[in-house]
Amino acid sequence: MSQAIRMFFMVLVFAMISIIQWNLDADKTGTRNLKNALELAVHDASLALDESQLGQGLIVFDQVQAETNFQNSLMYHLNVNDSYEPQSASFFQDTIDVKVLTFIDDSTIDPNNPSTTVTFPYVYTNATYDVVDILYGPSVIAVVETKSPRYFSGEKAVLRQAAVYEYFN
Amino acid sequence: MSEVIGKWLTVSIAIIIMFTPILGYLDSLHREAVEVTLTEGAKKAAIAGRFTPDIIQEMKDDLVDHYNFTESDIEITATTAQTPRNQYIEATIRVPRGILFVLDLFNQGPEHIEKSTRILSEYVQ
Repeated sequence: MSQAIRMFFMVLVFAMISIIQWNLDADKTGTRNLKNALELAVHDASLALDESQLGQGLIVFDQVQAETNFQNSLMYHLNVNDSYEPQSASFFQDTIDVKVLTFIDDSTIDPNNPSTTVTFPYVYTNATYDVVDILYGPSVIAVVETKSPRYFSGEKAVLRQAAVYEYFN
Repeated sequence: MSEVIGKWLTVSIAIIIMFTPILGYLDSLHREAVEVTLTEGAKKAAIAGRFTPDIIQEMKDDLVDHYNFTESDIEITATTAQTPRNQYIEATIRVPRGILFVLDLFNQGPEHIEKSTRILSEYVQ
């Protein structure tokens, strides 16, 4: 009987430690997956350039194509569909929210001086997500957010990652 | 007799319980190593327009030197043909996966860790 009780408590403690560990591990893996996928996605997005502007020495993003590249990359790496909902093979359980996808290029109007376009280096700030970055050239900025795919139920942590890809002038 | 069986069961489960969290953590770190190596390799390959033998060797060396994998066990399949700008370069790394349970009583899960990536080429002729 004492053996059985000892065993019961051991398994109980093991289960508790395991729950904490696997949940933390899901947070960590989810954050890393999101960051790596986002870095590749902004890279792919930044390759979509407007060829006609390029001929005049201006780097201007073809934003429609860039968004398609961005979406395709996230769909491939995170196993989500075109509305960013996870597929059955995905590590994630909740929809990936693309909170910010901003393009700063040679045709962007300077918010501080609306009659001109931005000059680089340009300080990009986003107060909502606390993003401050000095951009040395045309850039793609993205912020994505999802809930941590924890194995055991409980309050899900929010995972949020930002990435910037810039052309260095 | 029942006490002996009980003791042996306790001991075997205790051994499994002791090692599983650490082995699970190790498995997670192995996955991380594969993913990070693959992503960093992909970024270099995007600039070169393909996975050059140098990049592939560098990824293998990274896994061998820093993460203790055996070089002959690492399988890397990657786009090695020169790829023009705005076309996809792909790569997959496959390495053997360690155990989760010290005693082989439960399902250990898949035998390999496999991770794929895809990135647009930046290469301009």
